[in-house]
Amino acid sequence: MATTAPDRLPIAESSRPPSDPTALQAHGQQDYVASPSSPTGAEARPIFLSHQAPTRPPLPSPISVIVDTGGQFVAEDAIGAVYGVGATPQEAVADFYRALDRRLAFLRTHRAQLHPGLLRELGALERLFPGR
Amino acid sequence: MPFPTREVRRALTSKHGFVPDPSGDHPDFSRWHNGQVIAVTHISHGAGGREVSDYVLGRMARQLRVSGPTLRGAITCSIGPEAFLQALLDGLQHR
Repeated sequence: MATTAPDRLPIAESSRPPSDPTALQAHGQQDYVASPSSPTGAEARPIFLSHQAPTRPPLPSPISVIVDTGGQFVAEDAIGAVYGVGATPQEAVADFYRALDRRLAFLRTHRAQLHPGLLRELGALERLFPGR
Repeated sequence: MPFPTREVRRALTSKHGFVPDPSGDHPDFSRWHNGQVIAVTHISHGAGGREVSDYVLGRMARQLRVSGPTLRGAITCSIGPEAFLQALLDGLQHR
């Protein structure tokens, strides 16, 4: 009777707790949700520890920062309407916001003369950066 | 390939009709056509002042809604004013 050797089963390494408790990420109270258990389980639903609704996860940043081949940092918005450059990420973001404010000011000043395409861009920028 | 800032500025204003910021305080340029603003761009001060890197030129092209090669061609004169204007107008349809 022919026999075959059993295949090795891959066993993933179990996760280990961090050796240093101080390396644990800090959590706020709002991060914790208690789920009651019931005999049927049908009515189980999260209970939030405060009266406030759970905080929504933060929206993705409307700005991305990259390093170009020359080593300078470039910040750019999601729709490619504005960019800023700097020697550090902070400088690039600061340059970005200066450029954004100038662009918004220009587009608003000339709103009546804007091509519809630029008018759409103005609306998109105002939605991306409310309050500016 | 980076371009000297002066060359980019000169190409935008002298060849392609962009109007610099009237105050002269900011490196902002707008392009008007038939009484409408059709494009606005700027050359970042943070770009070192003397050169515009290839990547930053790509950001300017994206700002203008034209391709990188189109903007480079506009600067090196392989793309003339009429063709570049048409590229700017075409790009407005994709905003």
